[in-house]
Order: sequence, then C-alpha cells, then structure tokens
Amino acid sequence: MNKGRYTGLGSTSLILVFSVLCLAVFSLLTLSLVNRENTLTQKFKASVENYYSADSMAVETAVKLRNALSDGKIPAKINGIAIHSDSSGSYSFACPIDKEHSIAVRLKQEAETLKILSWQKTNTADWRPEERLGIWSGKDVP
Amino acid sequence: MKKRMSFHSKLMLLELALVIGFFAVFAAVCLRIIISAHQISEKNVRLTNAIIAVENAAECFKAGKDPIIFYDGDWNPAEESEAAYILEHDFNSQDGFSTVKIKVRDEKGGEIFSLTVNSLKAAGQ
Repeated sequence: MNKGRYTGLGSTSLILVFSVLCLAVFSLLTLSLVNRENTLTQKFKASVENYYSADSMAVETAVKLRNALSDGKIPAKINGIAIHSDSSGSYSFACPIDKEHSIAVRLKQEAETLKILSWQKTNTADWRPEERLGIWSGKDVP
Repeated sequence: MKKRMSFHSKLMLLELALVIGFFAVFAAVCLRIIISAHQISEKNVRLTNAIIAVENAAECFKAGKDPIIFYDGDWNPAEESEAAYILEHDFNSQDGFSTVKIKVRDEKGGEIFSLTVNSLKAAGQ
C-alpha cells in the first residue's frame, strides 16, 4: 500500500519540464532561424541597392563621357571615376559596387554615340588560386 | 486511510494546478516568440519578393520593355482587381538618360521597397 501510494506524484512535473524544454528549444531555434533569414534579406537588399547605385553611376558617367567627347575633350576623371582610353578608340571605367565588386564598362565612340562593348559586374577582390590540392599520391601507405 | 487518500489527491491536484500554471506561463512566452518570428519571416518573404519584382522591373526598363505592374498575394502576375501588391514607377528624362523611380507597395499603400535606376535605353543609346 505504501509502495503504490505516491505513484504518479511528480510525473506531471517531469512532463512539464520536458514540455517546457521542448517549447523553449523549438521557439529559440525558430527565432534564431528567422534572425539569420532577416540578416540574409537585409544583405540581399543592400546588394541590390549597391548594384543599382553603381549601375546608375555608370550610366551617368557614360553620358558625361559622351558629352565630353562630343566637345572634343577626353577627361581623366568623371565623378571621381578614372576613365581609361586605348589606341583602338575605346574607353573604359569601373564603378564600385562594394569592396569586392564593381561594374566594368567598355565603350567605343561611333560617330555621335558611344557603343557599349561590355557592361559587366566584375570581382575586384584579391584572390589566390589554390594550386596544390592535398590529394593522396599513393605513397606512404601505413 | 480515507484521510490519507484525500491528502494524496489534494497533493496531486495542487501539483497539477501548479504544472498547468507554469505550463501556461511558459507556453504564452514561447508562443509570443514563435508569433513574432512568424511575423518577421513573413516580412522578410514580402521584402525579398518585392526586391525581385523591382529588379525585374528595372531590367525591363533598361531593356525598353513594360514591366509587370500588379501582383497577387503569392507574387504572381495578376489583374488590377486581384492585386495585392502594386508596382509604381516614375519616369524622368534628363541630360541624355532617363531616371526611373520604381516602388512596390501593398494594397493599403505601405511602401515595401523602392529603387532609383538610370537607363540609357529610353535616351536612345
């Protein structure tokens, strides 16, 4: 009788502890996931804004370059962006998007207009190619 | 014997009441966290889709084409009458290029995302 008297007492507390732990873990996991998602969305937003800001700057620079060329001038810089020209009559410049990317533009003067030869997003970050892969050569078999 | 059983039942009842009380408090806190996480997630999904819609519109303008203006609740192209999200644009031509301000808003008028894009296309380049 004494043995079975308190059977069940405390089991609800154990279930409570387990339920509360599950609830806390899952809700915190949800919150953590959403925070990461939020950070990713903000990065996506910033990348799109930076890209179109650089693109708009490239458009302005191209138009100013065309106007300058029609006046017979070849400016060294437009809006702080260096203009490079080569012997084939093409002009190039790069508008920075962020620390590691820029929009590289190549234009060629044709009569009154500038023909776009290339308008592309390029990587400007320093990178070093990995030339040595750690592949097992077949030697030193244990 | 009867008295002891009664005490045991009272103890069980007290424990159950305490457990239900604690569970209610913790469940309310966790539910609050989950609801706010859901709201942030929905806001993120909306913002991501709005950015994609604005990007698509920007590239349409740069290519000289008409963008999609009305989107339904699932961000599919829709008719004006079923539109939950609306893309608005404002053209300005200046000095050989055109500037387009693109904005996505919901049906209540709240702005979700906006972008200003310069384009050579409309200027005939």
